[in-house]
Amino acid sequence: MKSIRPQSIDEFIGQEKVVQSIKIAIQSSKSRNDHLDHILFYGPPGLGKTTLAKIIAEELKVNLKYATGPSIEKVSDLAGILINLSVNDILFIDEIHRLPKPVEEVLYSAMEDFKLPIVTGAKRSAHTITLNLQPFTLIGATTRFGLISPPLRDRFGMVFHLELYTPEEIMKIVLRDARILGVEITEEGAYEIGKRARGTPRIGIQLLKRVRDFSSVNGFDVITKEVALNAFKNLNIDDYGLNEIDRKYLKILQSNFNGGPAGIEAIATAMGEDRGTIEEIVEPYLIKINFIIRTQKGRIITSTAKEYLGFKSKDSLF
Amino acid sequence: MIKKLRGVIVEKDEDSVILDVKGIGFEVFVAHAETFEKGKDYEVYIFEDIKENEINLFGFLTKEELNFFKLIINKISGVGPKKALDILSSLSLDEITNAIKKGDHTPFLKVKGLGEKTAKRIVLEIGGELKKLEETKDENLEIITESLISLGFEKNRVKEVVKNLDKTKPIEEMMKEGIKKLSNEKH
Repeated sequence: MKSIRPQSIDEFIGQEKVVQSIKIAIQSSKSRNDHLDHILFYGPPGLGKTTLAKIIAEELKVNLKYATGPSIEKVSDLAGILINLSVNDILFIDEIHRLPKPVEEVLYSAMEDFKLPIVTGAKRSAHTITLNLQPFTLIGATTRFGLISPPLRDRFGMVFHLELYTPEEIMKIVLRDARILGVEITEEGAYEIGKRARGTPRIGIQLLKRVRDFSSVNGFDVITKEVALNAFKNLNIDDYGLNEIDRKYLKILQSNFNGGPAGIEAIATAMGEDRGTIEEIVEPYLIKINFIIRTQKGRIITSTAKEYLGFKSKDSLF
Repeated sequence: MIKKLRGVIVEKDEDSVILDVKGIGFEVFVAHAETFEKGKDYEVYIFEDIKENEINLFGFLTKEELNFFKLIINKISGVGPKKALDILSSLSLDEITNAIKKGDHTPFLKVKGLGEKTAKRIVLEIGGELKKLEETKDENLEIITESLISLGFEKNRVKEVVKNLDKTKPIEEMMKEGIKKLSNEKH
């Protein structure tokens, strides 16, 4: 199967500032013939954190070892991974905020000077045996930047925030992926997908596949704007790509809290959802499309969102 | 300082060979010169004996042999490189260590020109040294076992892996080797 993921940094669409910085870092690492600085990516899921890590490994022609925070349960797991890395390899740890504390502490000195200290000896006077590691690059990824402890955060030479994509950028990605998948789609059709992808390429690709299924079942050769709109009606996806939980959020903010301002904890409790999910996944997109505003006093619903919900602005008391 | 040579045997004598290393012939004194084959490639660990007006090279196929050789000339006064080589020619390393462990000096009497007094001293002094060596090795193994378990590796697997580590290596290397073996088993 052909991979949809871009293979080189030049194929990557969007996140221009981040890509620019990475390009410079890669070039410098190549010319110094030295390892790349540790990198931390944070931002909502589906924006390309894993893809960027893979591309960086590809550009530097080194191996990429993939792990996740929860999968590294014990120091022994981390030691095994680190000892088996070759020179300048990349270790990618997804959900790095979920590393157990003892593991995280061992990671500090591994990141800092490529040493793995092992404290030994319960019986005799305790001493430390230090194992030398090959230089490597740690690429950490997280959706919860606030949960990264300051000592870990400070050991990353580069920290990048991945932003939600614009509908135009998603359109470009959808067009590219459609070409790889052999799907015929017009720019207008791709733009309709871009509008509904919640600023997230991963959702854009999922939508493309579902629209493709709809169009092939119904005998359309090309996904035009009309076909796409038909498909979305059929799939019950609204114009903004909002889902049940987004709508629940807006409805609760409007009816329970009179449109706000309301605190995040209060909203989360009313919804029966985890605060983190709301902060990291629901809100960024609602803010991006100007449906809510985050103020010091709390969240406020906008008139655009009210219109979306079917309330007319004049219903408001003021 | 020459520590190791690799080359082709071009000539053999009773107690020495000439090793051709890229066109330069080195005379190397060896135990069991008869077992070396002319025209073949060899890698030998070298002990360089430098005296006022001569330099002699002594070669060994294994590090263990070289270590034992150095131990004897350093610890037993009156036994020089030539005599030490004679011991390694007359007895195998296994025979030597067995005799020392048992505290039996008689096998050493087979070595020509080696008296009873010297033989007894070898058993006593080298025996003590070997014991010390064994002890530090055992202590290292214990440290490695303990720390691998405290890292979170499973106790029984650690013991199995530690048993098979190369004990001639420094402790850091052994530890790395152990972690590698333990983490690769999983997959």
